[in-house]
Amino acid sequence: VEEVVLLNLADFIRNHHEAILREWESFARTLLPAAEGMSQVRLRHHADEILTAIVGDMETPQTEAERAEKSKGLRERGPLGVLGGIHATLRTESGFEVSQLVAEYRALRASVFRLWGNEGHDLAEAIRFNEAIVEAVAEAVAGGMETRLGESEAHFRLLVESVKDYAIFILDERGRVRTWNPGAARIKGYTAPEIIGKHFSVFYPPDEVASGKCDRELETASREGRLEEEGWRVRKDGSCFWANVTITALRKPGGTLIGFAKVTQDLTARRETEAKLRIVAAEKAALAERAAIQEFQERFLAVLGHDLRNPLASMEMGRALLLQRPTIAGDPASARVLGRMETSSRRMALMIEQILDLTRSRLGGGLEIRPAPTNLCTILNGIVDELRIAHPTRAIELRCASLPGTWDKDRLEQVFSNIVGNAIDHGVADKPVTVEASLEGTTVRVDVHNEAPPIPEDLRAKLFSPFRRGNQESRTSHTAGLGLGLYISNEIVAAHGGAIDVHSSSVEGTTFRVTLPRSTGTPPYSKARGE
Amino acid sequence: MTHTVLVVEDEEELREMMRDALELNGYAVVAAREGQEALDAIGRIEQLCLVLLDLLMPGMNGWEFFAKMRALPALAGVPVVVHSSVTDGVPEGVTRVLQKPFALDRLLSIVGEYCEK
Repeated sequence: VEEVVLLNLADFIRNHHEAILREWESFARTLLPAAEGMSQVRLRHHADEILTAIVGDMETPQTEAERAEKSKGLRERGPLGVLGGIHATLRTESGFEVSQLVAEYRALRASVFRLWGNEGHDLAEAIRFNEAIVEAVAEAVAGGMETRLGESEAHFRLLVESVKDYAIFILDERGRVRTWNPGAARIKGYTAPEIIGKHFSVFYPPDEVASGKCDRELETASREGRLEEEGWRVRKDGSCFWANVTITALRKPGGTLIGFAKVTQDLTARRETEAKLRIVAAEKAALAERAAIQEFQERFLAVLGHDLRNPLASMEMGRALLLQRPTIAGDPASARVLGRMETSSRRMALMIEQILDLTRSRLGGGLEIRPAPTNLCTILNGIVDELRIAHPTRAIELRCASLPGTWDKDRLEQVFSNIVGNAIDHGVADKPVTVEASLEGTTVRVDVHNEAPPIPEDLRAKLFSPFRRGNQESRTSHTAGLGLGLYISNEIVAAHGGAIDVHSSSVEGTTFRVTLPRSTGTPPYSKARGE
Repeated sequence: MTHTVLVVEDEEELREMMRDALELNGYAVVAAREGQEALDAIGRIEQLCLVLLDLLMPGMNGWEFFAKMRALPALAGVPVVVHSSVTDGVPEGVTRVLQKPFALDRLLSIVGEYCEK
């Protein structure tokens, strides 16, 4: 009798198959947002087959023991279970929530019960149907969850695979490599087949392995859950890199250790950048210190230059006063001593002026000039006359026509006194020094030439640097000085908008060429000036 | 009557050397070591022909002394020759500048222009 009643429900479902499917479809359409825009075919996905499988399940004879196993989920999956699982997977991939999947079956059950009740049947006969639905629901939940977990795992795998800047891999509980990502391959140089199964100590310098560091790290990660450190690691090719390493213990829900997740970042580039920045900072500090020392030295020179002038003025005035005394002026020995004192005073005065010129040009941003109309030929004549008196045995030839222009007369006297004086000091004694001035358009050119051994290349390069004389050149009585003359001459010519060039060879001798614009753009100096 | 030169100079050796140089060459000299001392003395000088003024001095410096002196009508026309290591920043209106170290004949030549023995 029971068989007949049950067949009646199964037959009933078979007879109302399309009506039930329509209600399934209508309900599925309400499961938003996943169902939005879905076709009828997709909304009814597997419903037809599931319904048929349910009927088949209901028509299969079943003992009480089998029924009990089925309710506990212990029975092997039948056609309904398989279909329910596939349906759950597809629905989940379409975006359905697990709760919506369950709701779909609950709606199916409600539809069947309602239709069945409407026709006056006994609801108690629906027990088998209900059990079939419960099985489908169980499959729906399991399938949906599996799909979700599968998706998560796939996403995680994709993430790990896409990371190129970090080595991310799993170690088993004994420290052997279980997984390997492209970042690990890139950073450490091993391919997955080469390294999987090897102990992670291959990444450590041998001395650290020998000291037991690897075991200690796993122990720490195991005990504390996590370990992070920076240190040297070894690539496959034996080269080392500076790494940030994190080891995280992996445990089952019950607490059993199953391995370690290891994340390694290559910090070599950052470390090198930091090292370079430290070097740059140190160099900047050293430069700043050198600049401070140089400024101190130059300020010291400036103060010294000023303060030396007073005693020098006093000594020079005293010498001149003594020379005024008839008893002293009339004594040849006294007059000779006072003459030497005068020479020394002048040299000292010149050095003080050079020091002050140096400090003015270095601390004050260049030498100041006070241009006014003058004649360069007149200047050169005066200089050559003075030098002829000072060096009566030397021949100095001057070729110069009238060269009017606007220049600082005193400063140009300083320049040519220095350059022509140098030509005499360093020239061959029996060869003349020639000074030739000429006009070329808006520029005047003065060539000072002597016959002398050529100036060495390395010295030529720093001829106009201050204190160039240093220890490299012997000092004689007539060349003794600070080595500032050419530096200051160059500064003066530059302040006029001109330049000094040097040509020196064993064949042609040495020529200093001074070029000056005829009119210097600097406005005349307005302040009262020294005498 | 002999003209008097006022020498204002803080460094003793140079101040006294200038006094000697001028006195030995026939001029009367009053010397002061800084501006205030010079101002105190200047009113008592009858035939002041020239002030030889240093600029960098402790106490009242040369710039301040010059401004105060020029503000006194009786002294406004007295020539002032600055003798200094610095030639930049010399006060406007000084008669001329004599840069240290200067030669004796240059000093006598300038004083000779303004003063009678």
